[in-house]
Amino acid sequence: MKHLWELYSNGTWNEPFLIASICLFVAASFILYLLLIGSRHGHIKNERLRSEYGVIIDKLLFTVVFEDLPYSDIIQNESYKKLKENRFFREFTTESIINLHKNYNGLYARKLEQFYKDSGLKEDSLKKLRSLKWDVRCKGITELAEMNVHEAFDTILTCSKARNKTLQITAINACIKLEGTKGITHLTEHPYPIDDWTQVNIIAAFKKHNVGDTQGIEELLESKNTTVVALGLKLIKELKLTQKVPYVVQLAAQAPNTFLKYEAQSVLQQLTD
Amino acid sequence: MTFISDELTLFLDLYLNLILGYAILIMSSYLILAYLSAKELRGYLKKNSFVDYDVLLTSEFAPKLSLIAPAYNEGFTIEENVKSLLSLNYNNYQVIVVNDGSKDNSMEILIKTYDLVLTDLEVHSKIETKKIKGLYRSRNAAFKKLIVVDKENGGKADALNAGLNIAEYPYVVCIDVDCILDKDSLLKLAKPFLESYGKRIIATGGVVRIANQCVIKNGRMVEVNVPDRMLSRIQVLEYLRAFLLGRMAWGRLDGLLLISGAFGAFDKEIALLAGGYSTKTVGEDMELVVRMRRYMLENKLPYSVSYIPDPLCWTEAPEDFKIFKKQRSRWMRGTIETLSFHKKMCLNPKYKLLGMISIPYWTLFEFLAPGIEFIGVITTIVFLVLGLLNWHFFFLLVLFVYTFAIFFSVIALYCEELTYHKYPKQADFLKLLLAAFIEPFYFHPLTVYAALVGYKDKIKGTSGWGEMTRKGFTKK
Amino acid sequence: MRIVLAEDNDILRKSLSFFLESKGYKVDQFSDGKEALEAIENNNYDLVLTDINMPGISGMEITQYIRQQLKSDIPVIILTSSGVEQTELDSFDIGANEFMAKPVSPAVLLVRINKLLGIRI
Repeated sequence: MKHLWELYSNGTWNEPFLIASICLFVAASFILYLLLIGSRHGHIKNERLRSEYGVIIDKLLFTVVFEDLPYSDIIQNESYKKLKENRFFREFTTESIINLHKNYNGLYARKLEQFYKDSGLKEDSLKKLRSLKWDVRCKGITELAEMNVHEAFDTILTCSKARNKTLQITAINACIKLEGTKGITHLTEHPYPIDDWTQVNIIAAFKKHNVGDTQGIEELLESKNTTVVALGLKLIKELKLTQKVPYVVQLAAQAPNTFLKYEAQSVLQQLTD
Repeated sequence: MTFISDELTLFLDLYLNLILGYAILIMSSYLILAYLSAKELRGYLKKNSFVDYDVLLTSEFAPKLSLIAPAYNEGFTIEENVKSLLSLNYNNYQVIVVNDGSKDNSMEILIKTYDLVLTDLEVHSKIETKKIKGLYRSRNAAFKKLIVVDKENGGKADALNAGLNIAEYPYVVCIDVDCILDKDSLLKLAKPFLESYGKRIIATGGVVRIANQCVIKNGRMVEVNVPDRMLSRIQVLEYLRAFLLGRMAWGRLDGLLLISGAFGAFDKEIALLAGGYSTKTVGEDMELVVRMRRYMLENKLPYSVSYIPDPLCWTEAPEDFKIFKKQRSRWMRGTIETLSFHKKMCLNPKYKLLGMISIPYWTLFEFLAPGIEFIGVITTIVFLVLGLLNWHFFFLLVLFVYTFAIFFSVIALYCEELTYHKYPKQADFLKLLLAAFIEPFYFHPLTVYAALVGYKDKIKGTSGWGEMTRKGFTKK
Repeated sequence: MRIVLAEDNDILRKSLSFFLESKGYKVDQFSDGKEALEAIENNNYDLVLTDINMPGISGMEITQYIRQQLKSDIPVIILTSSGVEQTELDSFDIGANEFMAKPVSPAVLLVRINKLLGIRI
């Protein structure tokens, strides 16, 4: 350090500084270049593995979905036995299961869910919920929600109270898919404002999963969080829940601010026309 | 040399320290911005993988958008462009094409292709524009989103204002009619408007990428390539640096001065309250954003400008040096005009981050930088020739700047690799790398020259845009 | 019986293909709308199964082309995950015979296919 200070006060710091910087830039560029090449190779390798594993996974899943073999027979498959502990293989299999599950319903979906449980992939997803990284938790939540794992509901509900917006939305959507209205009644106590984007997502989730039992939506109207009340009104309006009209009437009479009063009245107008 | 006096040595020392100091200042700021940008970008991409944009397609709360596309002599490609605008993935939007007094057959093509008839839509002109000759809608229900405005020539800003006057919806999206838009671009542009609570989002902007030599079919990007021509190739690199390593950081700090004129969305009410686009500048896109921000700050309204790093818009970059020079000198004139219109904001605490950081930064590093660089280079060469500076030191200086430039470009390429990965072909990557090596010698002097031309033009009082001859996108 | 299947979701396309072939149909798969259309023009198929959204050309455009340009009344089933009611109505307007919303049941799909082909014979 003293040497550097001497150089500086001497006035001859310029040249060494330049030389040092040049070396730094060249070295750093070179390192980045190597990292870049490494990353590209990584991508290419991944692609190759995907096509290789894809063939095996396809065959495996078709057997699961279209034939009636018990799990114990399925795992006799040679390639599956070799790869089933491989992390990438498991991830990719989960991905494919989810994809198929989104597109198939009825008996076929149940078979996929059963395989998901038997093969231990469900455990993989549950483990993701305990991760410290929010994006890993999101991934786990989406997987468990898609595969209808009801036992994960409570853990996911806790995640929905997080500050991280993306995690919040993912978790709430998952709760709605798993338990319908029960998935959002806790929002009555939600401490943070819920922005329009989150509200739009919640409404879309209700519509997508055809939530039939709407018992409890009226509780949202009693929340102290005005955005939650607004959400409740939007849900009643979009889903045309005429049976909730009496609660809306009550709200219109006791609304805490003019905006909500106006909103409530417009909902009433629309539903009672 | 024997006539070196003490004062001269002192002066020389001071000068050297000054230019080194300036260089270090620029370099550090670039690196800090790059770091912030890359971090933000990674966070954004992670979040984005969990977003379902399709909810906006079926929600009645999705922001309603009015697209405004000014067109001047675009006859060659206008049919294709408008068709692609009408087939974007979004519900509840309208397309307003403003024919700004084209001298070619643009209007005839539009009327014929879209079966247009004159309508008498009531226009409440909140902003004065050149005369509107007619408003057209289509008789065909499939094109009911389309409105065509035929007006007297008034320039891009004037055409946009005409669009603002007519737009029916609360948000306007201003685009260049020849831009290739990503199919989901409206979904992505609209989302930020719903996301903030408490702060009003007044504008959102996206990333513009270079489409030269890319394959485009039916108005959609099909294959991304790196152009062979060095001038356009280097621009690809330049845009990568600017958008990946710069804008994202400014977006995060909410100090973004510029939303690309090629593609940006605005809150119509605020745009009108702020006075609409200014016809007194060629940098109308940047100037409007600054003025809208200023309006919100002066009225103490909490607000934010959002930035979306996804490549949503692809545009043709100049391949010919003459047109390139015109474009860059126009950018410089626009910068000078915007900064001078709003010079009251510079270093004024009333204007918070914008006044204290964004505007001074822009002034120093975008406006003055080419001038400072030019003077610095000339002075250094003079000293060198006079023997006051030794070759060894000069060589080190050059190497210092050159290696930094390459380093920064490699950072950009690395960042692109980790994020959007739009150039997966090995050959393309090597082309860009080569461009990084050539740029400081070939491209950079050109940009400085064009900027100086911009200074000159501004002093002389030149105005207007100059011609940009349309080549149309070449299909391979 | 030859079926043409146009669907850009890889695993869905392959599994449906596998399923239908196991039931005795011959299936030509395509992940691109344009390629599917070319195949339809150049070959004789008994049924068209297409997703509504695909890169290149949409399922609606394919149906429109088959009905209007090729003037063929070959049975067309459209698959979709859209959930938008208007799309359903539009599909029938354009001339599709059946419309199946995802998630689908392959068994139900098979029954619909058999029915459509049964009627034709």
